[in-house]
Amino acid sequence: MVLVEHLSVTYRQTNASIQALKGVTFSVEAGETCAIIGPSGCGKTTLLYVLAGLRTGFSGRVLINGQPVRPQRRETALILQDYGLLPWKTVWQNVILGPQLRGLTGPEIFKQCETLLHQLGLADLGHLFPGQLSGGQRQRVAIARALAVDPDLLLMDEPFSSLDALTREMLQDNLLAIWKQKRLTVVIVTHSIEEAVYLGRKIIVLSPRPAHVIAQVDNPGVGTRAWRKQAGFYHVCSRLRELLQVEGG
Amino acid sequence: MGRRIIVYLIAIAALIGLWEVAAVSLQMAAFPTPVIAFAAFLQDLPHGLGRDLAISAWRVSISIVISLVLAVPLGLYLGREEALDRFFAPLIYVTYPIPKIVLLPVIMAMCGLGNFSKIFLIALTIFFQILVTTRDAARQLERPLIDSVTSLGANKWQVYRHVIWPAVLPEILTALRIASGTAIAVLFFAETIASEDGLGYYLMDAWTRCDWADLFAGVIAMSILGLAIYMTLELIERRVCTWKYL
Repeated sequence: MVLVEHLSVTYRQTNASIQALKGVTFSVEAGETCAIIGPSGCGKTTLLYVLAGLRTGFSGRVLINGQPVRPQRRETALILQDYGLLPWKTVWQNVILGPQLRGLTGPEIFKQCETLLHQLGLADLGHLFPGQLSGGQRQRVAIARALAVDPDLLLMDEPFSSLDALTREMLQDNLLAIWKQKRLTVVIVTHSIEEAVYLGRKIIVLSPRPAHVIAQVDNPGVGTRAWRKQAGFYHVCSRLRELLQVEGG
Repeated sequence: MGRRIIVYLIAIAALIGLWEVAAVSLQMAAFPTPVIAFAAFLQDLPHGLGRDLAISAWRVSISIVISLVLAVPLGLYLGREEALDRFFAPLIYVTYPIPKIVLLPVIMAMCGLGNFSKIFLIALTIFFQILVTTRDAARQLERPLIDSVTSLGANKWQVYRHVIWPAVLPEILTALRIASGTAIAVLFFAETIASEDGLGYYLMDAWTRCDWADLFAGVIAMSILGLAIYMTLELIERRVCTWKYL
């Protein structure tokens, strides 16, 4: 589904060029979840922007579903940390924005969006503005909006990092349920070890900048709510911690 | 809404009260009491003052609309297109501080003494205020906000419509409210020079006749015009930017 080979990205600023990614290589199978973890500022977000087609200046090869990555691939949905929602649109207007931008406004689309709101526990909040919601509700709206375009690839940039622990776990469960139901490919960027291990069937560990892949951790236990409490979960967590500490120096 | 109207009314009453106290204690012919001024206002309203008020209101309104139509799209575009902005920004920054009002003689020489030169001068003055605010607001827009909508499949035009325009709208309306004060000041100036109608002319005429009651009737009419524009803009802002007032 996602194939990244020797991906390098260099930012050119006025008097310096900063290399964000250096020879990143990995792949994600269709219907798989993949967590990308690394120290903050290592270029995780840049990687996600490349996958979303929003950053086109890179070297290397990036294929999505066998096709070279391109801007505005219709089946890719992106959720950003804080800026997901438009504050001047109501919950409902935010959720139908994707279909609307694609010229889809039929009754079946509305019905699909209503079902999504219902699934995410937002059915009664459609008329509110994002400013009137809690952080958790807002992030659920962002998920609903991403799913409204019926994606096969969901990219998330630290979607739950600004939430309190309980809300975060609830939303992680929400996401897991959606993944199981729709079997979409999920790539989630995070700096939380627990989140990576709870959500990523495959975990890619990145080095500090310029980022390259230091390890790919297979994490087959993912997919049940009980996983968080099992010994295997803690085992993978400590392994990740070691990998990150060695690289972080 | 009802409460806000009451607050406005109390403020107006307090202002008139202060005026009364000042007028009574000063005892000057050039500073009549509110009763005298409002009597002159009501008396003159059907005989010329109303017409002058309408003419001035029309001139200011049309100037505001023209400057909006020109400045907003240009400001949005310059704010988001860096290549173009790099060329135009110095031009704007050099021309913005020039007081446009000093160009009145030139404008009158070129465009005559009629409505056109007055509207041109007012529109020119507030055009720059709106342009600079719009451009700066559009520039400061958070990049991820645009990215997330682009990733939903928005083309450039849709980004302008769904993100940039609504994000900048509250700032445009604020700029407009500030500019409306300038607009009326410029209007007054333009109407006092070689003019035969409008509130500026009415005030100038009362002044030359030393008719202080009429002069204050003109001041009242000007204030009503300013207040009406200000309140209209605030009403529009509350209407279209509901999300700002939660």
